[in-house]
Amino acid sequence: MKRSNSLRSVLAGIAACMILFSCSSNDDNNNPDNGNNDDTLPKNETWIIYNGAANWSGGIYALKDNKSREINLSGLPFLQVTSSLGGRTLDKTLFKVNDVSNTKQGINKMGIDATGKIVDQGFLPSLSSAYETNFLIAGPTEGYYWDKIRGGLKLQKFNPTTMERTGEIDFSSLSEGQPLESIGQLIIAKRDNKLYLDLLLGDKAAGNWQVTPSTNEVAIAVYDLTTNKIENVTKMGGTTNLGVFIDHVLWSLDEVTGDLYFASVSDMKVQSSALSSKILRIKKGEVNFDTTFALDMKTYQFPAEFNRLFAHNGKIYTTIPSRAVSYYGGGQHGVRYRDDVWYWNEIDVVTKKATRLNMPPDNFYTTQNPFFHNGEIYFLSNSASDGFSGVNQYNPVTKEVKETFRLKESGRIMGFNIIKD
Amino acid sequence: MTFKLHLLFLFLVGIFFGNACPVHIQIEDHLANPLSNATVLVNGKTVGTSNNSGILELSLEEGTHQIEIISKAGIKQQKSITINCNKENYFRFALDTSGHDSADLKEVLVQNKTIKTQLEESPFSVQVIDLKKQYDKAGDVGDFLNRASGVKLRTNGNVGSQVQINLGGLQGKAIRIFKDGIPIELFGHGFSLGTIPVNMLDRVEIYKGVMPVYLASDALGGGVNLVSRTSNKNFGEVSYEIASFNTHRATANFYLQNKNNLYGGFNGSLNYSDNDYKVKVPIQNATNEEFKNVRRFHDMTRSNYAEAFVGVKEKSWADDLRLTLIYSDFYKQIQNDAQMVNVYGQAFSKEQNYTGMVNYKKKFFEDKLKVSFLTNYSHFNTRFVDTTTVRYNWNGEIIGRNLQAGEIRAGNFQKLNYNFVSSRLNMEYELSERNFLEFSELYQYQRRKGSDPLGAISPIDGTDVMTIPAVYQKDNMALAWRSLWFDSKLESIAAAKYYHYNTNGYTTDNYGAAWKSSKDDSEFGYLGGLKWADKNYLIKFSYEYATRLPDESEIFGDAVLIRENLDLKPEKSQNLNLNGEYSILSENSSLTFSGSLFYRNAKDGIFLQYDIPFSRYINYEQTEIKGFEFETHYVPTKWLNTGFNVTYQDIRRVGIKEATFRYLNDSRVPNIPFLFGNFWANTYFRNLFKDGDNLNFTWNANYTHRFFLVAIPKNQEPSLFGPVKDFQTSLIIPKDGRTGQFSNDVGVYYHFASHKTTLSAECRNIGDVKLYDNFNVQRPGRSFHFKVVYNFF
Repeated sequence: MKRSNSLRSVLAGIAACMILFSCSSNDDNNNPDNGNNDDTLPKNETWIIYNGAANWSGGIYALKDNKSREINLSGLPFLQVTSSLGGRTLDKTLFKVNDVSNTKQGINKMGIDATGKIVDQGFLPSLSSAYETNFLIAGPTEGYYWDKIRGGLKLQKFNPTTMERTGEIDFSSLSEGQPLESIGQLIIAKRDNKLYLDLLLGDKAAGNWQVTPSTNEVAIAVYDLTTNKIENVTKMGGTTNLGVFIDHVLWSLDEVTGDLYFASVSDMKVQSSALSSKILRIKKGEVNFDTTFALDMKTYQFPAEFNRLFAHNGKIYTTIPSRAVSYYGGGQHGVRYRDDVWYWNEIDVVTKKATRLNMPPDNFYTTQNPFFHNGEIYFLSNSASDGFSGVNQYNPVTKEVKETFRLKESGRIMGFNIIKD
Repeated sequence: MTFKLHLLFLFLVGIFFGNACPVHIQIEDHLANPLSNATVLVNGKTVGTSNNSGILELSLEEGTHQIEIISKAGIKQQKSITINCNKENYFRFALDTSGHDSADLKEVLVQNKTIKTQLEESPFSVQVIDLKKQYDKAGDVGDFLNRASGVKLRTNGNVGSQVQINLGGLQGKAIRIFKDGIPIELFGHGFSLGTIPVNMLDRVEIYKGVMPVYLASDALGGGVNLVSRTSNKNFGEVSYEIASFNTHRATANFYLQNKNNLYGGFNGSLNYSDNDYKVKVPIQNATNEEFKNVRRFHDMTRSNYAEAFVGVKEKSWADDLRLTLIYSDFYKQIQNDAQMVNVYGQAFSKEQNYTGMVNYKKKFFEDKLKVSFLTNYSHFNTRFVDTTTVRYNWNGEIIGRNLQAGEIRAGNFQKLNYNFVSSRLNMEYELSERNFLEFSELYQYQRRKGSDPLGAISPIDGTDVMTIPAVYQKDNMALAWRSLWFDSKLESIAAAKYYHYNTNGYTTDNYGAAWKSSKDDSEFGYLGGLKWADKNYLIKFSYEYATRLPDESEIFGDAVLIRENLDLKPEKSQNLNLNGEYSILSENSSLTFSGSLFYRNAKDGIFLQYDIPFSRYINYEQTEIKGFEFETHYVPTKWLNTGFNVTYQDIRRVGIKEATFRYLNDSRVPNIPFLFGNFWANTYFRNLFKDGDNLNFTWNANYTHRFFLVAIPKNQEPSLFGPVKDFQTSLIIPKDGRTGQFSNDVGVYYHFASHKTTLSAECRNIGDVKLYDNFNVQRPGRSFHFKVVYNFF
């Protein structure tokens, strides 16, 4: 009897302790609307928002009826990802580099399910284990990507609908026998049924992140998809290293003028004045660089690089830092590369005059380029000093800037797309 | 500072030699058998107890002394002795034990506390795994740790893979692991949690949240002390285990001692495994990928550990003086990355370790002052080779050639040489029968130099940063006052700790220059503990303001992918434990409950801030942990014992300063199991085929509840056993929809009547359940283990 009483006392005590200690206040809020609602926003648009924590992990959210000017993502459904850098779209489909864990190299495809949630819809693996997949979604069944293991001078083809590799285009004839040779590793652009691909022939020094080209120049190979032949290789000196950030490309097709623009970042370790970062152009209908044109970062700030690029109607939209910066050095004069120094600018391609847009600067935690939608151009900014993570829109005709939305205690903005019904 | 203390210590030793004469007291029963654990009083004061040989050696001044001997059974004998320092002082006491039968002795044995019991009854939250009766079991010591309450081992695979311990929600560098009080890193990978067979150890002490003074170190969340096998009598044992995946383990342990108390011995182990267990992995084809079950093909591990020692015991100038020489080596192929996504076919690492160690123990001032000093020197040669220009798939086929060197990163041909020095000084002084002063100091010195022409070239100035020596020194001290109250039912301890380190290494600036810079910092900490023990219950409370010092790699990074941060501060944590134990004992059965509540509040957590091209360690995270452990152990009959334990640890990020990231306030810290437990049953059948033989069966089960790999806002966490519905994720373990992982191990063990030979057979993960750990790394499926243990004498 004594034994069972003791046992009961002990069990009761332990149970009480467990309950007391493990309970916490229940402040759950699973309201899917989450207070976000603004009737003035278009009902036929879905906003795709990528948010990120300090370690770049986060979620991809789809907001339709619950859009607002101040968005709290708390409680909203999302697709969880380890690296939240986004986002490229084709109609209602999203694509990003690597799988949700960000360790499996390749191209991830996502979409919106019937309940309005973002869901995984397929994955095309790269054979490479390095963070270096570059791709282009040209159409529902036409896509290209670069896979070093399958051959640096071979451009891979895939079907974005089935997410299956469908073949490759061989550029081995362009080889010069350099240790590292690639085609389309950083630039895969398509215009008028022709592919414009960066050709990089060189080597990578130990400890260096970029390939050093054998000749101080940039080169674009033009491949005609109609004849299936390499039509041209155009080169331009005075700069090196086209493109660099694989989640977002450093080329842009001006849909109004038909001109194709590319950004070179040069050697970001050396930051040579003679080979500074530039924006170059291949004019509409041409297969050669426009040697009369270059926007030189030195004109605006130095040392620094162009790290975003969007072209629209003879204007370039990019960031120009307010201070000199160095990606490798981590900072110049106390300014780190990811400080709030990246101001959005509009540069006239004729006058080369840069006009700072009246919106919060960005600190380059997101790398997404601006994009055009319904007559307005959208810009992403994370600014710690302004306490701002969100999107601004700019009307290139009226020159008016308007805040599209800001995130409220919901992480950094890492990507944004608008999908119309 | 440390050097001065060591000099002081040596000076004191010299003084003590000059003031006392060595005295040998030999205690025997009426049949001239040695009587151990007999208490010896000199002039009415307790000076010590006899050892297993019935001997107590002590120092006494010249003159006449009154000696009283009290045996374990309470038999007393008194005698006067006269000490003459010019003669040999050897005294023999024969106690008449003929009137005491075995029943009395048995009762006395129950009262005589084992080291396990003594440690577990200290005010600290401590658990001791006694391995003396586990030498017939297969596997390594990690298997036993994983079954302990509140302990979760995290591994990246099978034999030889990296293992880290989670204690009270903290893991990694927050938990310090020692071998006999010396940081385990100094013994090389050949002696790590992933490679040590149980036969190499006497016991494992697990300290949760609060570190005892004798293990003074900068442990944020506690520590584990692996205690080597030792003996007071001759013994020799060899064991051999063969297991699935071409796994072989062998151990040899010998100890020999002569009448002059000279002794020597050997402890050694060999491990080999192909680790070629099957995993389900994607294999790319011409168009996409398909998942297949394939055998791992590049995960072979081989480790050797040999430790030889000689020493003397029970001399007037040393209770124990031991010299130990250690050689170990370790070779491991590297099959995949931490997430088990990328596959490698040629990369490997290897190391060789040479260690010399001196251990000295002595009691002074009529045994009031106990001193233990241990110092060692280790030299490591390590290699990490990743130079291949080909790439593999999971079939072991080459899928790419003539690529840049290096499967894992941008190539490594790393040769590093390490020199380590470590010393520990422990002293306890008995102020009175119930008051004790304790002091402990741990000093560590580490120097690294080497080269890596592929992987360690600074992008800033092109220097091979490994060629520049990196030095790290650490000094931890603790001073405690321990008291006994109310007939020793209440024990209290209060201690202050001091932590200091300095380091120098390679730094670069933004303009392409590089130089050596240094960092120096110190911190204070403190702890307190109370214990109340009565007949069948025990209550303990302990608290520590704990500190972990940043190490050299966190301050200076690797100068290639991780930049330095000279502003890095130590991590700190407030740790509280409340422990209770209650036993219900009867003649042939027992039921024991034990439970604990724990709380941790860790600040300035060192966090790797990922970036491209450079990451950096920063003080960033604040974590609050609330949890409980509960264990019950039931022995209904002599032939059966069973029980279970369960641990819940609510580990959450708190105090996020940036408004942008406050949505993760109170979110669970990802990639750490928070609910887990074990179940077990053991049976013992004696005299089955022959008098004296023994047949045992065991069943062990382990459950680990699902946990997420990436933080989730608290208001979107699924309920404990509910489905994940608010979001889609595959960043969860296990990711196949199960709410947890449950595995079962069974074993059968036969001890021959001669008590010399034991045969064992075990089946691990008998259900062949898919098991995952860190970042979804797949663990082995069903495996079979056979083991034989032979004792020579």
